[in-house]
Amino acid sequence: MKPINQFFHLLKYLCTASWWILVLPMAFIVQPMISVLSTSSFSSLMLQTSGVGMMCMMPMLLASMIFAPELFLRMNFTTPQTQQMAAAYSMDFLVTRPLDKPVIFSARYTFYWAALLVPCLVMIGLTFTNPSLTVNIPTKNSEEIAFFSSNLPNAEVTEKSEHRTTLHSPTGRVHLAVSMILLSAGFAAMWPPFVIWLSRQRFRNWIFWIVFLGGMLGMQLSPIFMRSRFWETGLFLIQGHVLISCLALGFLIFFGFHAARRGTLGDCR
Amino acid sequence: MNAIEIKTMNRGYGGPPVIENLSLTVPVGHIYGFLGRNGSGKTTVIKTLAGLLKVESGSVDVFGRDPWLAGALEKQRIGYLSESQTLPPMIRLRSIIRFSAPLYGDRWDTDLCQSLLAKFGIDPNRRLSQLSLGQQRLFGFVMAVAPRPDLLILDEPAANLDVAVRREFLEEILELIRIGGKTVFFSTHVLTDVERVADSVGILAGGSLVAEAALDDLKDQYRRVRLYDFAGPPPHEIPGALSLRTSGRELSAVVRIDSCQATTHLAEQYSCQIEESQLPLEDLFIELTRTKK
Repeated sequence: MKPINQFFHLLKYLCTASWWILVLPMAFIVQPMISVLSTSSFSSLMLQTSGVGMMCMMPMLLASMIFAPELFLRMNFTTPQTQQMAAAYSMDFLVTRPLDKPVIFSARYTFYWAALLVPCLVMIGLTFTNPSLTVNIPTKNSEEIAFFSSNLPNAEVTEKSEHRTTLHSPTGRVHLAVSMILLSAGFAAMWPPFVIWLSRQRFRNWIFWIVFLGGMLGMQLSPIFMRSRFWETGLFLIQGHVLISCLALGFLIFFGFHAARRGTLGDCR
Repeated sequence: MNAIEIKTMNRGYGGPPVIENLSLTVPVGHIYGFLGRNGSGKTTVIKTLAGLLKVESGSVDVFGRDPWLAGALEKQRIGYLSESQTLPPMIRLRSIIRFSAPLYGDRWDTDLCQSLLAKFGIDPNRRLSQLSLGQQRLFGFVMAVAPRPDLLILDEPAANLDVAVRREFLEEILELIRIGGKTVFFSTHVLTDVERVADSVGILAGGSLVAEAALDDLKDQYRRVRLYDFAGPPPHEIPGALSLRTSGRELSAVVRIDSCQATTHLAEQYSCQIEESQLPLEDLFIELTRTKK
């Protein structure tokens, strides 16, 4: 079988080998999707950005299932589903089939990104149904308002009162969703080499759960601990579009190359 | 031509080496029984042959190619059955076959696959998790054999199989080899299986090969000697003995055939009786692996 045919044959297998694994990307996108799409007027961006933690950390779980499924077999709560994933995506199974190794690595990497990006694209698509965003800023400080206006694309001040200023951006919701997805993509690009490295460490299970749970909680709770800056944090997502895009693309290329070259778990026990 | 050629292979997992300076060759057309106690490094060698592990130093060649670097075409020539179950348990067996068969192209023998499944009473519409452990093992074997590989690598193939099925299974191995040009490399703890099918044997202990020979030659290389009716206490040492046990005025030892002469001299020297016998493979295995545990 030619490498290109091997690739599509394997990709088809990866997509159908475990339905369980496809639940994850759907799960990781639900909270951000609800928070971004739920209403059109927000008193702050805290609610919208609350899904960022989920979007950044859930790909870690997906990456470990695709690139280091053996990690889960060593855990105490092994279920038939995790056994299925571990066997279906394990190098023990894939490397001993007549497949070229680069094909295995590139098919796994493609599957990982496809599983992540499809729900993200659905989310962006849905924001187009109601792209405008209205934000109520609890200040009348002109400097602060100017800061937010310049960062929310095409934002206009629609209302000003003693305690708050209302900004309206006609495409703000789309930009917010794109920003969150780009940030998530940056993290997602980092997870495959991280879990491959992790799978070779002695205390891999401990490190895995500390990073995963710590990251989830940390990112969810950070707006509370960064009270005076949560606006800026939220707006940075929009402000840093180019920066985040470049970082995500850089990670994607660098770590994709890394995963393709060294992403074998067969060599670790 | 050799199907497998390992030269001074070394491999560890970060700690002390698991395999040290291992060298062995398996000619094409041979059935090679690879023996060793638990933790001796058999699975590490087998995983290296299957392309799952990379050697740290030395070289491993399967049909003249490092299996770590082997591409799809080279892997088509190798059938592999892992020690642990590595096939996805929740997929229907026919889906695993549907995934695997096209990868082997013309090599995949659909008739053989179907006949073996029927012979072992395995329904391809079931999931692997619905099969007994023995049947799972057999399905793994069918998957390894169906592409009619030039080299079949089996790690503990007889685990979880009852006596009758194990015999059928061994017959299948022999049947495969009868076609010609096929090689089988298998590890097992069931030494009667080795005696039944293997042409040559390698015994691994402490990460290195302590014996490698054709099965009959290996048995001829060692003798159990019993020296009895000593006038006084028996000696505590025999040159070249693998093991030595004394009991009253009797001494029992396992010696290499080239040390038998020395044993005869010893019997003459002590004016005692001597009795020599060939060792069964199991006893020989225990003696050889005990010294390098």
